[in-house]
Amino acid sequence: MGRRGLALMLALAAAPAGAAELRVCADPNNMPFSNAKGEGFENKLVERIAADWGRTVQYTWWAQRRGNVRNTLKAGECDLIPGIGSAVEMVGTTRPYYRARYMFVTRADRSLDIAGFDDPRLRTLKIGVQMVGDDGSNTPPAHALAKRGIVDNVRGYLIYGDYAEHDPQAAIVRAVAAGEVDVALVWGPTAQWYAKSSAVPLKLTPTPWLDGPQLPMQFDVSMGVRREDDKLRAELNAWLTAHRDEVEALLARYR
Amino acid sequence: MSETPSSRRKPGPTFFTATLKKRWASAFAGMTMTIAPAVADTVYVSNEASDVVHVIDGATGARRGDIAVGKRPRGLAMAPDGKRLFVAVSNDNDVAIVDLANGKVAGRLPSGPDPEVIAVAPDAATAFVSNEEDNLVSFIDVGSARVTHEVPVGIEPEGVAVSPDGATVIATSETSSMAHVIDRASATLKENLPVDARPRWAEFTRDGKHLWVSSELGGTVTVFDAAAWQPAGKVDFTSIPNAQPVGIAFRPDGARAYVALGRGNAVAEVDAASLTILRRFPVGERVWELAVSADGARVYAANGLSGDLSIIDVASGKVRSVQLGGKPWGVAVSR
Repeated sequence: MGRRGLALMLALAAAPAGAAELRVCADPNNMPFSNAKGEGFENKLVERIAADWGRTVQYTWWAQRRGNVRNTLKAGECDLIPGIGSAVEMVGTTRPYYRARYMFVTRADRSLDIAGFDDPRLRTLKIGVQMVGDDGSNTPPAHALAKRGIVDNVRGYLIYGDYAEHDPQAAIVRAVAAGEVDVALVWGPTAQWYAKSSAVPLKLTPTPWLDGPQLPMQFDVSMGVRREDDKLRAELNAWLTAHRDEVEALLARYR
Repeated sequence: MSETPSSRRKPGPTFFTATLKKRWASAFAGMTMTIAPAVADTVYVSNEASDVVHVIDGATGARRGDIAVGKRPRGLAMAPDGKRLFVAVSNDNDVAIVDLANGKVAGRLPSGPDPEVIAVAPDAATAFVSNEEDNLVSFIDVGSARVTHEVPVGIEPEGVAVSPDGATVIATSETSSMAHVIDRASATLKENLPVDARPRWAEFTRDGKHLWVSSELGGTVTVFDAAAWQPAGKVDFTSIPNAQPVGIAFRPDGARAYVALGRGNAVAEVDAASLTILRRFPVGERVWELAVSADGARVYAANGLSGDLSIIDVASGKVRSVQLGGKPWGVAVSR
């Protein structure tokens, strides 16, 4: 057998049997997670996996909104959602590949050093908080503020953002830089990505990891497959375990 | 995650999701009887689909009978004197107390809604159950058959354990990924300990010095110092295909831990001091809860998907299967 034949056989052996495409559902405008240009870390991750498996990524673009899992993964439009909360039970989740936390985002020149929800200054400062908005649920920091009666000085930013905008999730971070709010509560990866490119230096401080037992501020993130798709889930778990350092290095580039 | 996490309550858990294959094979058909070890014991297995607790001879694997306890029995806890078995009867919203002398339900305790895992204090005065849908741990006074306290914990509490000295109760919450430390005397939450994703089971070491918490999705067991409540080590099962650590049981001498690996269809033997994985025993499908015989010679494993009990002979490493049908869930052993 020639060298080329052997290499081909090895490649076939390494790739899980099945289709030539890795069918992925992702958001076309949701940096730092994914976009249609393939710039997000979820894009890079699925492209890396597909390359290892000798497949190409075939995207179905669908904005992260209520119902997106039902209309994409569950409808058979794709086989994989690259980033979803590990505890989400409507899909089968892989082992988590990162854990993140909500952050307090302030301007570095303000030296506010807010590290907890009980800081009395939160009653008077202008606060930006991410809101879900369209299904009656809300982000944990919004709950943490509301349960302390901190409402009037809070401005909500929809996590889904405005799709007419280039970077819909950037608005809350830019509001801190522009001084429109004094402090913002932002999901870690979003805060880190937009703070990186901010012209005004920003300070990021992790929130406490939980605000009472039912209000954790940190969450594990997995890939999601259809619940019954044990095969793909096992293949992804094996890949994630074998490439832990590489995944960590990829994520670090977005922080 | 692409979607910023919200605190929206997720729908209830469905651990056993796959369609169950009907495997009502006779317990004895084709079974080769091996030489029975010296110490006999009796194994009790709850079956959430058959609504019974199976009674099995641990040494021979012979089925002794079934005890009807109510709808969807799951968690089991042996009373410290070994004479009564406490059964969390999830769909009846109560706890059945089985008198093991006659195999009959001798009494019932209120439990709050949908009790799942149960632990009984060493003084047998209090039972503790997780109420998954209500995010509570209920304290049940056994003597007066009353729920005396409801302690709010994290989202979807599951595993429950009580320390050997009876002073501390643990609950793990699946969705919040934490273990909660509850002071029994005051029924108050003392600590919330972060663990890896989807913690399912908590177990104190026999000497009470450490707490082990399994994380099904994270693929790990986190070991805590049970005085300082600081992490003291971790057992990583992620290199084992499909391993999802769930049930944990210790050998009576405390030197070995056995960890059920769920979809990994295996039980791992772990050196409790060095936290190294020593051996792996193949068992049935979707292994969930474990128990160890009083002499440490056998490990019993309930397999939810394949509908059987695996009996592991620790010395030889041989595994035999006792077919039960339905969905075996909890295991307890007489002492």
